[in-house]
Amino acid sequence: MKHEIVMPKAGLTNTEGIISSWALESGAQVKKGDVIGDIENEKSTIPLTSPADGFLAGLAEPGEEFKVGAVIGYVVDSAGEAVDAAAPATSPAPDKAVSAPVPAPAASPVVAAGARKRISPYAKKLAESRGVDYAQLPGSGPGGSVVAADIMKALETAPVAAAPAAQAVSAEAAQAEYTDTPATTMRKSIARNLQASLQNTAQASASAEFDVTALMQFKDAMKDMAEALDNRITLNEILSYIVVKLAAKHPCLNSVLTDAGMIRQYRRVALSFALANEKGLITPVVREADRMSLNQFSQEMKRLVALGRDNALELSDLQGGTITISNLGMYPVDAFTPIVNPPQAAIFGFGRTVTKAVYVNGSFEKREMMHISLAFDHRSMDGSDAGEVFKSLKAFVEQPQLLLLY
Amino acid sequence: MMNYDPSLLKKLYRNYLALREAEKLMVEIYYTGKVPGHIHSGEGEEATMAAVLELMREGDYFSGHHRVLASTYLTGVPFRQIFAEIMGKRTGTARGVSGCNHTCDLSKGGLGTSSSLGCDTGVAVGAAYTCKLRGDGSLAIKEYGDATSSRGPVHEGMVLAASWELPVLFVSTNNTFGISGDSRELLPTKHPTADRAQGYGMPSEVAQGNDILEIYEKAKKLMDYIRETGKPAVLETMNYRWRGHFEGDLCAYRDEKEAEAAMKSDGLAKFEKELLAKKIMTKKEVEAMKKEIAEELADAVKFGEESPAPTMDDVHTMMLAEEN
Amino acid sequence: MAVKTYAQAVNEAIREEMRRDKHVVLFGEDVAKHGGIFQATKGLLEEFGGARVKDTPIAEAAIVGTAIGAAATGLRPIAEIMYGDFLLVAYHEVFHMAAKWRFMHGDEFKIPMVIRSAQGSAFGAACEHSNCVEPLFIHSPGLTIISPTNAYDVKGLLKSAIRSNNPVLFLEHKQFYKTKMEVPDEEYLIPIGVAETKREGKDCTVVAVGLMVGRALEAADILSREGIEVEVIDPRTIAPMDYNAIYNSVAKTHRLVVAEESNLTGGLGAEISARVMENAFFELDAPVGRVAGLDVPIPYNVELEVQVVPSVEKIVAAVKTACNK
Repeated sequence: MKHEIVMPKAGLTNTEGIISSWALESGAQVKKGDVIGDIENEKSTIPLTSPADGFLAGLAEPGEEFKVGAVIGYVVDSAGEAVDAAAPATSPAPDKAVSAPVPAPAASPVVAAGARKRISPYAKKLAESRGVDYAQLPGSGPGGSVVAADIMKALETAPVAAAPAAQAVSAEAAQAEYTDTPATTMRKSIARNLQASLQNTAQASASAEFDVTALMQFKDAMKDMAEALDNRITLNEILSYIVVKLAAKHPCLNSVLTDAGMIRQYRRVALSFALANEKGLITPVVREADRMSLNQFSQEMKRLVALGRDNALELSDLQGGTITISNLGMYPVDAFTPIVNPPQAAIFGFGRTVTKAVYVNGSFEKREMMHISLAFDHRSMDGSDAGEVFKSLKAFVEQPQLLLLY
Repeated sequence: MMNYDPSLLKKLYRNYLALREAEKLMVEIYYTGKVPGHIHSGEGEEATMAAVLELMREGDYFSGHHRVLASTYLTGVPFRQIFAEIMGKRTGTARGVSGCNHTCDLSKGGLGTSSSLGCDTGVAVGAAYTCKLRGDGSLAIKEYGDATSSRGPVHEGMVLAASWELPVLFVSTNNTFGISGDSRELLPTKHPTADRAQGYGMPSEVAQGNDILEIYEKAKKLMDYIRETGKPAVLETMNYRWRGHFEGDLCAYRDEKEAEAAMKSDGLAKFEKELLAKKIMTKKEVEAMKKEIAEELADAVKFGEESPAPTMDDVHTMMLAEEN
Repeated sequence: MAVKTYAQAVNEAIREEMRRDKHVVLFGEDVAKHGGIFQATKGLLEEFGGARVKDTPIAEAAIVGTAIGAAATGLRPIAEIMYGDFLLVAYHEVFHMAAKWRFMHGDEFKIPMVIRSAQGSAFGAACEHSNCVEPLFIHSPGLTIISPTNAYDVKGLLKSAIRSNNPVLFLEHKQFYKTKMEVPDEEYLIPIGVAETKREGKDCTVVAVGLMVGRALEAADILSREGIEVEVIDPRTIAPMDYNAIYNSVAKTHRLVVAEESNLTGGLGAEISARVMENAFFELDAPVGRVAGLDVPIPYNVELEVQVVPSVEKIVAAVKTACNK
């Protein structure tokens, strides 16, 4: 048991004192009330008395300044009791020690210090899937909560960081071997999603070169159909429609493995496709595509593209896709492996059409050939499933009339 | 008695005996923990059902109450199924999920019973409506007690049966007590069911609960009337409840001496004595019958013990019938 | 096809089913000679005779009990309980017996019965003759409850109810009997347990029941002029409810308001919002709004009654709140 010897208060305004000297050494036996040393303060020197019976121990060095009430030594019950020497606390000098009180929370009526950020469940889901940090986002919902509209607004707002960062570039950096430009929110979101896709799924792919001669003839025929349909159906639209038909025919393309261990089979096929606009890359969705004829589908794609280019799409037109198409056929790209777009399970990648000499029925013929790849989540779909899909894909591109019949 | 066909007398005796032995066994298995629910013993009151159900024909319907649960045995439901239901097993009449008051089989005319006594009066009336449309002289029997007769739905059922002229036999096995309530004190008339029949325009009879032949005669008279006219009628039998309302009821509310006296005038013992005296049956025949019934009952309990319990799957699948 | 009233549609449904199957019978207070107090059963006694179409004394418990007994023994009864409020006189018979008779007595029992009842406020009918009773019965497992809101739906659903092998509580709102609509003459059935989207929209889902369906559609028109597109879902069958239709709609609009005439506490909105919270939580951008009758007995004075029964304006306000406008 040790009793603390504390720096005594010499007067009403006294805040600190110095141990002038000890009258006895550590280990000396004392009784309560015995004088054991002298304390010096700004006004005078006063005697220090022992607070208890026992043995002096852990006495601080004379000359040290202590705050009033601080421990400067101990009186212990038994002679041999080990005790560390008292020492002044390592706090800043007294006149700076009293820190300013924690400022009251900002005048926001809702978020008290330490309270959770209020955000609607849907807005939170949206924020997480689009990579928006909502912690500091102002909310326009009830009670200042964040709602979906606030997330969408954040996605559209170009980051302000560009200016300060540019200012921070010193002369030295200007001569450096690289320049840093802040990634846009959208870019960060894409980065996050695609990396997550590869990390959280078991992606595999299958690809083949298909004879699309018949498909190209079908596409050419659309020129003649344009007047009757009041719509010119494009190759991209036809390829997208094939993806829809495949997803409707092969449920594995339209099903995902959920975190809860369920195989979620979407009831309708909703096709996501990539569209570049001034903001970056967006993926409009043709909903209930499996219910549409080719003409209806084509018109809906055109509608989405037009709105998408003007950045006028509704939130609902950007969500709920169950499968994606990626078409690089307008570039000199033969084949590529796209990345599955979470939370979907499959994505098709179409390359360019190339005229080749192909050995068919005993001789070389001029055929239109195209590489098509399928990247899929192997957790819910197997290679043999992909094989079946490719069988259907082959049938569709070689006999496009099947698009009418399926 | 000499006017009766001996085979009918033997049958009535067997009915009475079988129900008595079943009642006794139910109490026994309750005390050995084989019954999850309550047993409301009808020991001493079996004559009414023993007689009335003997008059049931194919096409007739029957709804009983919470005593003499094995009454449905007389409609052709095996003891095995009855006891399995009471023991809460899947081989019971209702897969064991329903329990004590629900020991019927529709194919044998069993309509079922509501455990909220008297509320099922309408069900018998509805069955009688079906009988009327069939026009084949079949009828519905609704059995209930004296205390139950106060319930609203009982009166509504009687009003409707009278209004539509439906072939229902309302049978009240008056055993003097509700739970602790003595019907002689609580209710305004001596025969709470039969005395009201006139108010519904129905003929009625009162019989002694321990005189199986009196019950049989009066029941036959009323049931013949119902089959002929298609109109309802009321039979009330006067009994005294031998045991508690439920097992464990100490009956502190009634006169022990009166109870003892009632139990001494056991209608089954009387009937047996008379049959033996008039040489309708021999002692050997009686012993053989007792043995046969005892074996049947022992087999039923064993069957119940060995049967599996129902599962939640049974609960989920029993609620709705298949749609077409 | 012709324009018919709801009452006529009910009449046609019963008539067609009684012609089709001689086991179908009809009884209740004032249904035979008088043809029903809303004239829904007019002419049926004349066509089918007094054995199959019968008036009863005022004895609701017996009416329901009789329907159960008749159903169990081979008939297909349609029992009328004049007012929904009077179902409570036979609450035990409906809640425990009709719904559970098969459960209690075994698989060989089938209870193919329909209880038809007129419910809801009717301008001055007061607190014991104005209630909407769905919430009192959804708590009974085994009972199907249907509340059709127009003449087309009522005919198709009543026929399905009569053909069902299980007990059905069929609730007709008093204010609907005189409403008119095109109803086909040819036979058609509407399946039980399937909701109908009566109006498509992308901004907010309103699930409305009974009288509130029409009011929700009116509210939707008002809101459309302000740029808010409401999707109105009429469940039609209250139990079992087509929750998937509701979840799918909420996944589209992210906002839900439930509108019912029955009072708030323990109403349908309470059950629906709990289910949506459980199954579509991450689709909700706003709390589920409930528009319901006030938790008071319905007053006798009509000026007060209309303040208790939810109005179009209340639905508009709830949608706007959900849309954060």
